[in-house]
Amino acid sequence: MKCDRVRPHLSAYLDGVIGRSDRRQVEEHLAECAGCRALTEELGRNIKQCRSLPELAPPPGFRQKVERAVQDAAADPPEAVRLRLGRWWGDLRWKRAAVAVAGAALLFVVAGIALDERVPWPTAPGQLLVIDAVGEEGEARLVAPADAQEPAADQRRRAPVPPATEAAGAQTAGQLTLMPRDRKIIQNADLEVAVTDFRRSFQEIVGLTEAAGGFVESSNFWQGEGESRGGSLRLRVPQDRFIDLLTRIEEQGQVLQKSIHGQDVTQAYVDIDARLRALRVQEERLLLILGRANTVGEVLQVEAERTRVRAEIESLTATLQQYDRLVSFSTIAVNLVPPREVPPPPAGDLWGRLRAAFLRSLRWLAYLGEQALLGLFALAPVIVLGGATYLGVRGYLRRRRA
Amino acid sequence: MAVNPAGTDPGLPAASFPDELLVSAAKRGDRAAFGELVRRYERKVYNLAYRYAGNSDDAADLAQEAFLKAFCALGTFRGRSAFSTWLYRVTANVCLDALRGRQRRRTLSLDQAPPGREGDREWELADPRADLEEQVQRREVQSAVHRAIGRLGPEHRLVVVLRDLQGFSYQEISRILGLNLGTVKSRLNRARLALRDELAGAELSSAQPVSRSDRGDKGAAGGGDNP
Repeated sequence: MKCDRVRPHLSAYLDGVIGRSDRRQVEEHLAECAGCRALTEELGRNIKQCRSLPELAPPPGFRQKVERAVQDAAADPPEAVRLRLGRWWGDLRWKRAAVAVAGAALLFVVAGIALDERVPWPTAPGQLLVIDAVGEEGEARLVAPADAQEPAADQRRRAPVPPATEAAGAQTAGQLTLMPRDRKIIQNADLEVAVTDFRRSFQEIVGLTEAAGGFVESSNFWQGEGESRGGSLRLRVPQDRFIDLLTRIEEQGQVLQKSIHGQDVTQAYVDIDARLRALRVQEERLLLILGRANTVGEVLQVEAERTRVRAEIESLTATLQQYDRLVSFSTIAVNLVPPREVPPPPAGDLWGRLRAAFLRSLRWLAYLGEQALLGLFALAPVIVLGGATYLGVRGYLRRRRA
Repeated sequence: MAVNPAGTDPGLPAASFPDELLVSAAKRGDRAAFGELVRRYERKVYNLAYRYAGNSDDAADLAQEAFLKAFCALGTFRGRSAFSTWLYRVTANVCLDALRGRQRRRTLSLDQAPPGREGDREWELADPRADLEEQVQRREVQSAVHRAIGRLGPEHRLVVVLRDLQGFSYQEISRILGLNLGTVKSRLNRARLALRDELAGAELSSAQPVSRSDRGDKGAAGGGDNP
């Protein structure tokens, strides 16, 4: 038992590099244990035998060989490059691992951005333009984003205008797109524009409308606290000037909201027209019958019928006229509002700037992380396939070697 | 050797410069300065490699590789330890790496390796008056020890060579091997016990007093060296 505890210290004991208490224990044990004493003597003898091994001189020409090798190494560029790199990188494993991880992360981020279906940096929410001029109740709707900088240009760009008519300008382009010649379409537009100088904009819009041959159907304005005031206008404008006027009004300020509705009333118009014609024929026939009436009773009966037909004709004619008015004069509802409060820039306040910068980089990190995750998933099939191929080839080679 | 690492007096012999000066000159690309360092340490490095590898051919290769590695890696030597310690460390790593590489290809045949002709010659020069019988006996023992060391595991071999053949202190060994003192102590203890087992086993296998004709491998080498 004791021997096992002493033996680990024998070597240090022989070299004299042992603590005092350990030494005493060892000496006490050696005094009473012949086996360990013999072992210690043997170890001591071995050490002496080792020390008796002579120190040899290197083989002749050894130094010259070393110097030649050193010279070759210094002259050999690849070796030198490797060593210079080695000096920078060392050959520590964790450094290599870090490089590998960084490379993989970069690959994933790049792949994530490249393979992302989303537009990576959306400039503005995309505009939506739906045109259905042939449908029964066709509607053309153009919804502009609240903060679109150039709605007019956007509209020109995005509207599906045939190239030949594009040269004719936005006005006719919109006209052609929204208003086929033989179609009856009622056009309405709702606009909300933020303007800095309300009075000037208001007058300008009225002037523009009149210049376009339109008129102001109604208007109102309100005065809020301090400088803030706004108002709304309901404009009627000949249909061929509709888009043009819309564009000019938009230039007055920042468009906050915009929607255009086109209501196709062609079918209803044609129906009413047909009924009107039938009623007119009926009226003429009633007049003929009236001429042949013999009794007062007959005359009264036909006359009553004629009155009913007449009334219907007039009602339908009025409807048609109303349609004509609505179609030929489009409606634009403009809402003028004061500019929205712009959030004050964080400049000046150091704490705020620090916070903003921190949050900005955090958002960036989150973005990068998202893209890296996306890249990882996007590359997952490739990785799995490549890994399987690698393992398969390696296993095959091993089996063949075995 | 016209070495002028300090750039002051070209007449000074290189042998008088301290290691540090030579190292910094060698770092700047002065191969002559490095040559002086090789001259100073080739013996220690070669012997470490020789006792580790077991034969002079492998030892020369290992020692040369160690110097080459040291020259190439001079830039990473920051002078936190003595140059010699650092150089031995490089040598020890070269030895361990070489063995790892070799073990994969073939088993090391240390037993068959001739026990160092140069060594015998040196020993004879050192002790010319010893009588023949004693010489032979001592050479038997040395050869047995040499082969027993060769049969140890690489780490045990290295620590035994450093301590019992080259006489480094525990402190130095811990720096050379990059181990703490406690590990050096316990490893050396285990290595010495293993060496004793090897030697005892060798004695058992040749219980009779060894005669030169009995040991073919040894007789060939010894016979060649003996005048």
